[in-house]
Amino acid sequence: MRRIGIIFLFVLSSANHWAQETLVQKLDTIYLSDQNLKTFNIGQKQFQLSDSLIRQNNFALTDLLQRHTPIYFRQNGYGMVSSPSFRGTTASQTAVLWNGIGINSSLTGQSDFNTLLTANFTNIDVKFGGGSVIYGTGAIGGSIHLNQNIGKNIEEQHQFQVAYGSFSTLESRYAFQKQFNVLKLKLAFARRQSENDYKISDQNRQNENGQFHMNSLDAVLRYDLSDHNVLSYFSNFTFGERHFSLIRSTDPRTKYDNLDTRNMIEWRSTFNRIQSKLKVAYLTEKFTYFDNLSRDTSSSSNVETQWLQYELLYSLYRMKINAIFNYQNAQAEGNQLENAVRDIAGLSVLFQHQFTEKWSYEVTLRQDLNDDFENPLLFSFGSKWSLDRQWSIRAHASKNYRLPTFNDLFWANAGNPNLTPETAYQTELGIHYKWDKFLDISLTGYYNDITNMIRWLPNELGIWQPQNTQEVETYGGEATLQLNYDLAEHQTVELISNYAYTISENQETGNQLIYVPFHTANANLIYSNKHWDLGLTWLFNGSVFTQTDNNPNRKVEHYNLTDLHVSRRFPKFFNSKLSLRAMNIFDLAYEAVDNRPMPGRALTFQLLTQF
Amino acid sequence: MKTIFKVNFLFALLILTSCSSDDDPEPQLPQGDYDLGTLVLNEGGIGSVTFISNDYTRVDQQIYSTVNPNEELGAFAQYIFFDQDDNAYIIGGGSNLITVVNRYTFEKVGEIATGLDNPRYGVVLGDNIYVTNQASFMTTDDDYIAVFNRITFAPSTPIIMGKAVEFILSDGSKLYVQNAAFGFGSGISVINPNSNTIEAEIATGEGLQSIKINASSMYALHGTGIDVINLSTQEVTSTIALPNDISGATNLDIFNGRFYYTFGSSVYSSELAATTLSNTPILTYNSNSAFGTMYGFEVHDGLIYLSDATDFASDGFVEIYDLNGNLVFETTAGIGPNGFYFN
Repeated sequence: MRRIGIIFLFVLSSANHWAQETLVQKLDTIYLSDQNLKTFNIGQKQFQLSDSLIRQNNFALTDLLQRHTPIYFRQNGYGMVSSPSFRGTTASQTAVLWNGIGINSSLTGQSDFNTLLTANFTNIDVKFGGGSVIYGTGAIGGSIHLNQNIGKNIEEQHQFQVAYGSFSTLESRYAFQKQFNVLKLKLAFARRQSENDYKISDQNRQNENGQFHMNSLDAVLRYDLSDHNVLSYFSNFTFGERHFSLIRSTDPRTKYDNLDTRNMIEWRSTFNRIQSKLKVAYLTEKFTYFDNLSRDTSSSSNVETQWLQYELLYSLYRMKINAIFNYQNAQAEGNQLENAVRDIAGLSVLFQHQFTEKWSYEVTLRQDLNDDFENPLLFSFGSKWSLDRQWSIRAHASKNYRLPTFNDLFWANAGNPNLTPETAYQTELGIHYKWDKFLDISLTGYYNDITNMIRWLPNELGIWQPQNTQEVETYGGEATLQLNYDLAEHQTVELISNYAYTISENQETGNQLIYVPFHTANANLIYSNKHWDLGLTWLFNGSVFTQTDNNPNRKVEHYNLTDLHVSRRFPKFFNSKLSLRAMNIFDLAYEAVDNRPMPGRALTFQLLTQF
Repeated sequence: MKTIFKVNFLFALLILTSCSSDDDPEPQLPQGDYDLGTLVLNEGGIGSVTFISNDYTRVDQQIYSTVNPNEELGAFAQYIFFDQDDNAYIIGGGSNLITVVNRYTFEKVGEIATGLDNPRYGVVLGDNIYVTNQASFMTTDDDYIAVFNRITFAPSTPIIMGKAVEFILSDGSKLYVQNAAFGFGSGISVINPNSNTIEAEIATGEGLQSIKINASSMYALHGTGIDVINLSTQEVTSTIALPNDISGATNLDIFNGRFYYTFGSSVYSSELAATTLSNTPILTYNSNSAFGTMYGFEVHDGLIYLSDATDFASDGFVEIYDLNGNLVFETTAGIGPNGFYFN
């Protein structure tokens, strides 16, 4: 016990494991395209944000993740470009996956979390630490999995959701599902729009040119050919227009239009111990940036990606082996891009073994083939020991990578064809305590050594060029606490909280990376009874350096935000639920990025009905 | 002979002493907190100004926002110019903004927030303010000079240039505009301030970097040398060659009959009358920055001022040397220190 106590002290994080374990058992009925997320995850911290949690919050992925994970977001003013720092890594070292396919921009390597709407996803999973063997480039700090699923049998349902609130923010969603014999269908449309003209009191002005709208049109089809063969189709169109808010009213007005499409067909066959899965996808990414609206000049880029994956899973007793072959071909066109084409083929082998009832482990390997650069052999090793019904310990080690992006390689007059991939070795150790459904504690410690980090620096002529210059070590700890208590029948209280301590150190200078807080924390306290939900959310982001020299006078100060929500269910009236959300209830003035003031108190009314 | 010499000598001495006593009636009183020192403009991010007192006892950062709380100079502070009434005009290039302050107290006097589109440099001549604007960086066709009334800041008809504009300066009667920016292009436009029209074009060497006026001549540093321009004929009279190994030298300044210019992290000097420029440095400083090396450079009152922008994401620094290349003073400044101005 003393030993465990010491690990407790040093080490850190993770919870919500039980949510995922129950899902594994339902795999046959709930169809999840990214099955590896549930089957090959031994040793790593992972948790799931559920459908009901997604419905309770606004559609902004940044807002949701900030309040329910320890990931830090650097948001250039509310609703503006939002990039994550996951375990102290940079914006392009968090992979975002849509039904198992990486959707970080091929141009920048990152996802802008304010262009992705949460509304039409069935659940959102967060995987901590490296995942390059399965998910490829960019899965270094962690990965965010946006999943849609569809069951073998579904009931006809219509769902309406509408929310209106401060700063003329309107969110609306309609979702429909129905079964036609062996064909199952889900359709959904969601839109989020806002004038975003919040008051900035200490400068005696309003946020200007911050208006945006984002839309997401989604479809999932499932066609059961036989008991052994299932065809599925997943589709997402995300499009929007966002103006970029000004620091001063004399700044040039700019905006950004985006249109991203994702389409995937999947054929799954299951015979006894073997499962075969073929996935073919076509993804497009297009944006136009208007650098000065008074001139109407713009630049745009367009990327098309063909994506193919074949997976063969073989289960034998307590062993599973999965071979994944992946091929991608991407081409980009744009005002600033020259001859941007890339082919990557990769082969991964995953092996998992439940050695005893209490001990399981997995080993994975991946090798990519690509002519443009040296391709490192990637691996991971994970293991979990269940000491008893309550305690478990897990360990994980992996090598992960991030490929240079199209901008890094092909940007006109600046791209650097000699870049090599960023690589990261990491280890993670965690301890987990679970007492029935009442208490769930998870502590995790990790260490991450990242080399050949790509950084854009100005050369002698003032032209910014990418170089493999930086070496960074990130390490820290995470803690998650979950409490669940039934006060009486139909009356529960739930507390979920996260804390993370993060060091992200540039090896050359010994300085903390900019916009990586040492401390982040959040807590959600929810009381529910038969008709009412009452929730209190607290979010803390520690101060961050804005300069690479860590000048203590140039920090963005820490802030504490508190949100409140109240919901009342009306089961007899179309299964409705009426909610009031109040964000930043204390009307705190704060900045998320230097010189980027954020909104004060914001109120929203929401109506959700389904029949 | 001896007597005459003696009389002349004594007479000269008398003039000298009387002059010096006129110049020096009592210790000079500062006209504000930021008098008797050097202003360093820091580009930003958001621009800022650092003050270094002449006796080096004070280095104050962010003096504009110190004096004017909740005010900012806008993005990419580019340049400061002055008028005859002690006003300083600070160009925030990324915010299309000129902030006007008292040069000694740094109290805000006003601002020019219209008629600007990527402003670069400015100059005051009489009661007019002239500011070069590059407008869209994609083309030079839309480049222009904005004109404002110095008292009311009201804009008047801009001068459409239709070619690259960058640095602007005046000899008191004409305006001279450098038609080359960021190391590309050549030529100088001469503008008549009475008609606000282009009166002449002076051709220079390619890769024009900087222009300076000294006495009745203008000197234009370009890729292969310094063109000497006679301002009354507006013609290039000669070119002083730049050795190949320092081709692409930048930051021309003139002090006490000598050129000073930089290449990489070194400073060089040659006489105005030289036929070939020296390639022997008088000083070299340590820089880890590629583009931020010699980000600001000025020779003033017997001292060489240089600045380094490091990685543009941390505090830059300033070093001050004497003319022999001995370090006199060094300090950190803000992000991207790009110019020195003397109070």
